[in-house]
Amino acid sequence: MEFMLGNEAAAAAAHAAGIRVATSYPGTPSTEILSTMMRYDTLHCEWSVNEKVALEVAAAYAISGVPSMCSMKNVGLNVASDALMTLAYTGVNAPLLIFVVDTPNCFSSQNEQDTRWYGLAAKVPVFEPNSVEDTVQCTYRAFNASEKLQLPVLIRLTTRIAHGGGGVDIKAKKTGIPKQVFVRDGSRYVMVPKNALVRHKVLCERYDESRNHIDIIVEGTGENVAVATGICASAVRDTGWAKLVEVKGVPFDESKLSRALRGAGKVFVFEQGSPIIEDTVLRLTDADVIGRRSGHVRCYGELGLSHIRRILAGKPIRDEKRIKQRPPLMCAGCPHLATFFWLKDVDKVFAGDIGCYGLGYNYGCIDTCVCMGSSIGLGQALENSVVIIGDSTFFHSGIPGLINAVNQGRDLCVVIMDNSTTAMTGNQPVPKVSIEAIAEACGAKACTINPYSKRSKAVLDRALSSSGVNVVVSKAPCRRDVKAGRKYKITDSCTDCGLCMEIHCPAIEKGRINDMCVGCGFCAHICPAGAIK
Amino acid sequence: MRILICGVGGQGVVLLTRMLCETAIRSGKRCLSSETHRMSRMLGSVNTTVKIGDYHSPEVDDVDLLVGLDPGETRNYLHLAKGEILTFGRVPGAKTLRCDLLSPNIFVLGVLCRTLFLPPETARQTIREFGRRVDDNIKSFDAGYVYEP
Repeated sequence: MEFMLGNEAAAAAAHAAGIRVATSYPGTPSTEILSTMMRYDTLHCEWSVNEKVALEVAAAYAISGVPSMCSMKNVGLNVASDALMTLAYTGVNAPLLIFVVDTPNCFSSQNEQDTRWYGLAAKVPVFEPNSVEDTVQCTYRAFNASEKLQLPVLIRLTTRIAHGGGGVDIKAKKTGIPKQVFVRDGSRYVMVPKNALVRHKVLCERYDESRNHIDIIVEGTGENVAVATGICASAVRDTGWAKLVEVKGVPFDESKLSRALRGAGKVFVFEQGSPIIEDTVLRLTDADVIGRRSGHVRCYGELGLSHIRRILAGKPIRDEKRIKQRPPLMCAGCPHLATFFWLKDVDKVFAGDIGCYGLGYNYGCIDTCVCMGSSIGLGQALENSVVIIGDSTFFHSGIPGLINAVNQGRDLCVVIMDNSTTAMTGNQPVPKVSIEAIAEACGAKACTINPYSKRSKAVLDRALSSSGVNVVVSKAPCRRDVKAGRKYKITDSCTDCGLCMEIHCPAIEKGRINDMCVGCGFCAHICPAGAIK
Repeated sequence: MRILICGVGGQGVVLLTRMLCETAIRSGKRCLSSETHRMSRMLGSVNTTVKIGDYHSPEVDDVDLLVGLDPGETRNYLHLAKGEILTFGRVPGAKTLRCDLLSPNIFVLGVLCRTLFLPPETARQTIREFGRRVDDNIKSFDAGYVYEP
């Protein structure tokens, strides 16, 4: 028995089942799946440029006979969904597992979308484990289902499982790496309309068959039944409710569920996200159904243990006590702080993006943040705006927006905060491709600044007032990739002007510099009295 | 035993949780945990839950033990505490922890090992396998293990 996070257990089980290729784009709370996989013996692992490419790469291997997987956070599947919808038609020749982590309560994502809708839309099964331990079993089952059905399959985790921990046993490790062989077959892999229609029919048959791979577990007896899926099933078990019916994903065998509900007085339905199982239950039973449709369960937020306990006891649920969450800050010496310092007096709308610089919101210097790459898309059409985007996000989905801005003849300043890493998720690598060269190839004017230098201000001001699309690459490595230097001190010649406080560096307090200082020297560089040494 | 550990990013709440759970599992107990952190790289709120015993879900609605590495965060969760409260700093109704060693989180691991009757040698083994700053961490752990709040 070994202690693992859900993400680690997912990777370990996938590898034990025989997965030999893994791809991902980092995103909390899914990142550890690939970083764990990278510790094992595989044919290929990669941090792809975005989730769509990640899925396509994994699918190419799966089509060529190598069991593969792809992992991402919930919103990542939006990006990858284009590929998924048609990969369901082509099918695969070796298992293709797609792990997706949803975040009820928006713990670490910009929305609470429910991945199961993608399974329903693409007609691929979605497996839903109820715990870290069960993630292992679900991964094995998903692997077998994918192999038998020749379909990609989704495994839906939620934060409580992905970032939950528990004891797991992983045995029966398969060894060896299958050979990669692509067999030409246009009728399967060229999805022109005449082929696609034929493949859709095949998919419909397989999808129907996939119901046999999703378990329905009935525990206990009682008049009032709790139907639950995922982490909610574990919560129901902890309440000690007499009869539980656990549905292990979608689609499932409806006649089986119907039998389990026969004679029920009341049926409670607990699932994270949307009332997907609930709507089926409503079709299958005449009993009172307590859930989202009846107004007993909130249609937003996490359906937690305390809620489930209250609902089962017939009490209304209340929103959680608002806890004063402390906002996260940027690290001491972060180059983003320096770039923001030069932009602090700029009277423009700041179109921000997903990444550490999004924390600029906590300092009042980001006005929009919607999805990966949206800074350039929104920014080019917002009046009087400046775009703030990071290097990894720019590669992920910023480039098409930039081309569009040039093509539409917009006047736009795009500040790319290039710290040469995907910092927010734990410093995963980014492509070693010149951002300046990309920007110029897109038809924008590009220049590079060192954010810690005073000269940056003039360059930024010029870019902000010039016509056309101007890209300023503010380039300095993430402080987590740099060894800390000597700590700075505020000396007696301090005139108390307060300028250094406007950097918002967590190492700078009124009149002193604390232990967090990493020695970037930016405050000393800008101090008008030269009082920081 | 249901435990909530809270603190801010950078204090080592997640590492403490991991080591506590590894120690519990190695000593033959059933143990579940969950971490919820937003973008808590620097000083943002972090809390984790640990459930030792026969549980299925790692979530808590109230807790038998509240552990705070930061008094401000501890105050946020007082409404969940149905038993003992251990925290750095002063919080009404709580036992105060004091530690000036290098690894306050590992010091708390020591305190928790004794409170939860977990074998200290198993915890030391977990610390050794973690492999970073082993001497400092063992020292902090031992100080925690004998600490009288």
